[in-house]
This record gives sequence, C-alpha cells and structure tokens, in this order.
Amino acid sequence: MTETTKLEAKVLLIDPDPVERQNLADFCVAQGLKPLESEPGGALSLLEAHQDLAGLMMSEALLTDASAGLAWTRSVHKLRPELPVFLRRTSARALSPQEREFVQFEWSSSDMEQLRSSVDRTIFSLRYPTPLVHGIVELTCSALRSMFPNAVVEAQSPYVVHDRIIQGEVSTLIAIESTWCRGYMMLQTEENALRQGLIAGLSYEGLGGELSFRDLNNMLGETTNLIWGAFKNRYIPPEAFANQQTQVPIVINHAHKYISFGSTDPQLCIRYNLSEGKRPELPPLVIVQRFIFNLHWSPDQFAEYSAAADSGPTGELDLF
Amino acid sequence: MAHVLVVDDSNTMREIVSSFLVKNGFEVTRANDGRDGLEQLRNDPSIKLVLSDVNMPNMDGLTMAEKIRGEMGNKAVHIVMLTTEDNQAMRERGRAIGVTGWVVKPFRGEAVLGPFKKMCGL
Repeated sequence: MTETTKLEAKVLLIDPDPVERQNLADFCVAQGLKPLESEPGGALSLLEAHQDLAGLMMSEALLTDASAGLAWTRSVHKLRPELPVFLRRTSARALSPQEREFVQFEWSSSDMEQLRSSVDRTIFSLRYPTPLVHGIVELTCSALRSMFPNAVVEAQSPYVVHDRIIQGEVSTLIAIESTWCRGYMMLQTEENALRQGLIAGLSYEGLGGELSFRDLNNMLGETTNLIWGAFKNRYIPPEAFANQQTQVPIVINHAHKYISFGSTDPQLCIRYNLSEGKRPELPPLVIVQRFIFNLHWSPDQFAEYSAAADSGPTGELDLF
Repeated sequence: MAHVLVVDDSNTMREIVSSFLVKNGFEVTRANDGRDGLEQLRNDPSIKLVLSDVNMPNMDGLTMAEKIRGEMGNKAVHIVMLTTEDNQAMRERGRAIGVTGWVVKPFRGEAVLGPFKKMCGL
C-alpha cells in the first residue's frame, strides 16, 4: 500500500458553550479536521460559501435555542442534506423522529472515543478528496439514470467502511488504474430487489418479465461498465494504460459474503436508492458502490490531473 | 426498411439499443462481438448502418471496422462506434479506418435518432 497523503477536511462547529466549543475545536485539529466556528446566525452563509465542508458538529442545546431551534436545523439540513450531523448530547432524553431525520451521530463530551469512531467512519474527505467523491456520485447517478430511466435515483451521504462484507447476492468488481490510484470498484445489490425493480419497470421497456440470474448479472455488469467508462474518461490519463504492475490476490468467500483485497485501507462507500416515482412508499432498490485503492493511492496527483481533465459530452454523435 | 446491425457483447445494451431502434421504425440485426458482426454483415448486404461497441471479446469494434473497409471492401455502410471510450487516440484510429462517427455511452436514443435516419436514407 502506498503512503496516504494527509488530507484536511473542514467541519462546521456550532456550540454555544465556549468550553465545549474549544474542546471540540482541539479534537478536530487532532483528527485532521479544520473547524469553522460559527454562531447559528452565520451558519447558513458559511454552508453556502464552503461547498467542501465534510460535516456539521452541533450541540443539542441548539435544538431548543431561541436563535436556532428545530426549524433552523431543518433549514441547514435542507441546504446541505449530504452533510453528516454530529450532535453533542446535553440531556438524556430520546430524540424525536423529526430530530432523528437529520442527526446521523449522537455523542456526549464524556465519550470522545465515540465521536472519534464516528468521524473516522463518516468524514470521507480525510482520505478521499471531496471533488473526486462528488464526481463519482455525479457520474454514477448519470449511469444509473441511463440504465434505470424510470427510477428516481438518489445518492446517500458517502462514507468510509473498513469491513469486508458483500451486500446482497449480485456483485461486480472492476479494476481501476490511473497514475494516481490503483484498485477496484464494486457494485453490490440484492438479487430479489433488483429483479423486483426491473419487473416494476425501473429500467427499459422489455427488460422485465422472465428474468434469469444471468439477466440480472448483465444489468449490473453493464451499469458497472458505464460507470467505469465515465470514471476512466474523466480521471484516468491515457498514459496510465501502459502500466503493467503487480497485483495482489482477492479473497472471496460467498458463504460468508466476504471479500478481502489483502488490505485494511478504508473503502469509500456510497449507497444509491432507486425508487418508483409513483410509489415512493415502496422500499427502494439499493445499490451499494465501493472503491478500494489498495495498490496505489496518491490523491495529490488526482488533484493535478482532474484540474486538467476536460471530458466531452456523452450520448451525442460526433461525426467524422 | 432501414436496416441496422447492433454489435455489443452486453446483451443488456444490445436490447436497450435494439428496442429503441425497432420502436423508431428500424429493422435490427444483433451481433455479440466483432467477429459475429462481420459474419452478419457478409450475410446481409441490406444493412445500412453498423452501430458497434469498441471493447469486445474475440474481435473488438475497431478491428471489425477495419476489416469491413479493408478485407470486405465495403465503403458504403456507415459505421458508428457506441462505446464508453472517450480516448482521443482511439477516435483518431477510428477516423483513419473510415468510421463514420463516435458516440460515448450512455446511449441516449433521441440524441442520435436524426443522424441515424439520415444515414439509413429515411
């Protein structure tokens, strides 16, 4: 594994208690996070100005604060729904369902380990550059909408995982190699959910009815191919294709839904929900995407290349 | 009827493209790689347009196009590559071979319907 470049991630910190705010700011710095301290009144403009924010840390006191409150928190969540919210608990009461809608993690200042663990899992930009992750989500949503034109496609907040679990029965694996990374992308989903989604008409007319497992494999396979192609066209310079480098064995144990790449590097994980627009109450088809750059990872070089990248339009005919 | 040969190793993609073309009045023949595509074209001279993926097993799309223009001597049929590849060197190779056009996937039928009809004389 290549040495990982230390990335810095910005978090918005809003806590009316000055001692707690300072403690939290110190914690953030120790974790490689850059805290932006704010009062509730200035938070919305900061959220707009800093599109590269990785999370919001706030005190429970704000939920009942006269200058903030639940309505304020909702407007923050509406403005940046992808941001994970870390709530410092100041009471033992149970959160209401409305509060639970936007709070991803709760912690109390007596247990900083709990917060550290949540940050490690959730602040993906400590390892993966935010523009890369946003680009991945954008090109994946485009590929999913292309393969499932009748589905409402939504990406959940990206996060990192350290487990080696395969989600569901259908999965694909494709190698990704560039001058700045080497590793794999996986798509994983449940066979029955995929079948039901196709029968319900999320994809193209004619793709449904009697579906064998091979049809389902092909569907996920072609989706993988589209994402891979878009990733390659956007982030992989042509000179990267000349590389013939070492590989490491990948271990798969189907009985335990286990896959190992021989590394414990954190994997970037994004879950996409594909639902029927007309029947949003039905459970969505969930497709899980994972990236693991276990063979080479230099996010600095990603930044250089992506700045020069200029992908052309897709789907249009370029006549020679 | 305007006859199109759709060449792609992905059954899903073949069906997505074919069903769109059929719905829009084209007759479609399917092939699952470049070798199969060459065979189908040899058997049916009524094909006006070959719509082909690039990366395929057995024979890739650009090699197939090269053989259509070279060995078969067919200069009349239009060849359009439909691929995830957006590599300039690959496009240049296609241009040099005599490929008519290049479409980067995903396939958006409405965006290419007009030119395809024109190529087929509709």
